[in-house]
Amino acid sequence: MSEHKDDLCELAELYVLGALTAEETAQFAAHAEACSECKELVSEYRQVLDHLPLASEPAEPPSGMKDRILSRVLESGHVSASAPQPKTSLNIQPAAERTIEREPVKAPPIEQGLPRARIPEPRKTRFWGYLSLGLAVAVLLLIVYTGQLRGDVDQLQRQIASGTGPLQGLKVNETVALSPAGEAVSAKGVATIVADTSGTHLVIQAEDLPELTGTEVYQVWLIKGDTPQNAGTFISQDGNGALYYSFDPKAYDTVAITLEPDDGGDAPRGQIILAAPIKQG
Amino acid sequence: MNDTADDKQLILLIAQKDSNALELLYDRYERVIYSFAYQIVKDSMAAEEVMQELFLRVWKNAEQIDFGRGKLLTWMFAVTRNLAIDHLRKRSSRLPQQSADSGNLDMIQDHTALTEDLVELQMAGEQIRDALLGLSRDQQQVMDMIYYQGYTQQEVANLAAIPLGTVKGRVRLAMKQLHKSLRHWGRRDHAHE
Ligand SMILES: [Zn+2]
Repeated sequence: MSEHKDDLCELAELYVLGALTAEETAQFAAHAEACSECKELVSEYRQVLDHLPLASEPAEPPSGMKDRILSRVLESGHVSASAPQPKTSLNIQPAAERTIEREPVKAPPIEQGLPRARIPEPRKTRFWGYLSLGLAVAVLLLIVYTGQLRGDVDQLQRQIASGTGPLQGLKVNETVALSPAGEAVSAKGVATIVADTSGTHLVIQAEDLPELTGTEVYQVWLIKGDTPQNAGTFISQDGNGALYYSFDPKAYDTVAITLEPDDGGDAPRGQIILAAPIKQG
Repeated sequence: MNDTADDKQLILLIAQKDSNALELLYDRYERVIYSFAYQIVKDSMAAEEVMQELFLRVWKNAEQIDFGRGKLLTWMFAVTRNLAIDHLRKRSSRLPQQSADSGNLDMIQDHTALTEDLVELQMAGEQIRDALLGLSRDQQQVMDMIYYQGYTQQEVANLAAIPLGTVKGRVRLAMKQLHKSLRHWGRRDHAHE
């Protein structure tokens, strides 16, 4: 990494603003660990970033919004948009994102966020829903850090506590690569098990998944011997999918992802797409 | 339980499913958050949807939210930005380009503490708005595309037809200038702690 040191130093602002690709982000994060200048820049720029939302032009909330939002939120215990996903606890689960996706696609003219700026209309490109990018990056960084900075648990804790921020004292127990089950499957992914004060969590990130049709979903299983436990379902978009699942620490020996006809199954019915042996340490 | 409860107290109550506390928190930040969401999505229905998802997350995850003083708002802003930019992406069917996205916002624990004093927040807002408007048009353009629209540096270079190095340079200057303008009340924030 040292030969690119100077190049990487130039990325501090873009890193803080989230304007880097996942790969660049991971590279920069690893670099900044060792570069005190970048570290300082990042913390300075984070101050700017954290204050920027306040710069928004004051906008008048629509009438009745408060009642609508509060009543929907308070009712949310009953009407959950999520699949039967046992006790997921972070906001980065894909199910939460789906609530927004169901909106019909409207395309009002895209004005620009900053007052007075003039920007070209964004180009239309292929649809690719964001299942949970924060999660993707967290997992990616996790791998980078496990590979390069083994032992730097503090850093890992900060990096992986993605999505909600509130996770404290996170401990990474294991990251395993998920292997495709069978020749015909080109999917790949990683499963990470982490523990924090609130419990043990499984983070799944997969890509190149076969396209889903109809009511099909991907379902994740934690398996001990012959007994699979449902760890929740997710849907993929353009082959990418992610899931976050909290569970009571118990010894499982395998994690597997199956392609299911719908999200109602308590036991696997479909084909295994990805699997990996796990052990918790 | 009253209007003077700080964010931390409210979150503790919300974790116990206290709907009055949720309402107080909502009232406290409705305007700043809605304005921010609207700034990004430019559509009142979409902004409302972002707000709804945010408060849903607060409601459902409150017991896991354990921020020091003043950090709840920072977290809510970060989630708002992610949700709002997601919305833009879906609306325009944008390719994600494997962007690290605003994801790294979430990843960082050491957020700045924002003041919980609404008057001070408003003043800070005016100041940073002035600072943004003080940027050159070119700097505004790249900041807008990156910060409010969630584009990567490479996408900005492509869309605005400027070299990547120019994008970097403009962002760097813009951030430096914004940071300078923040300095004096940044200190004041710290005085609260
Ligand atoms: Zn550096």
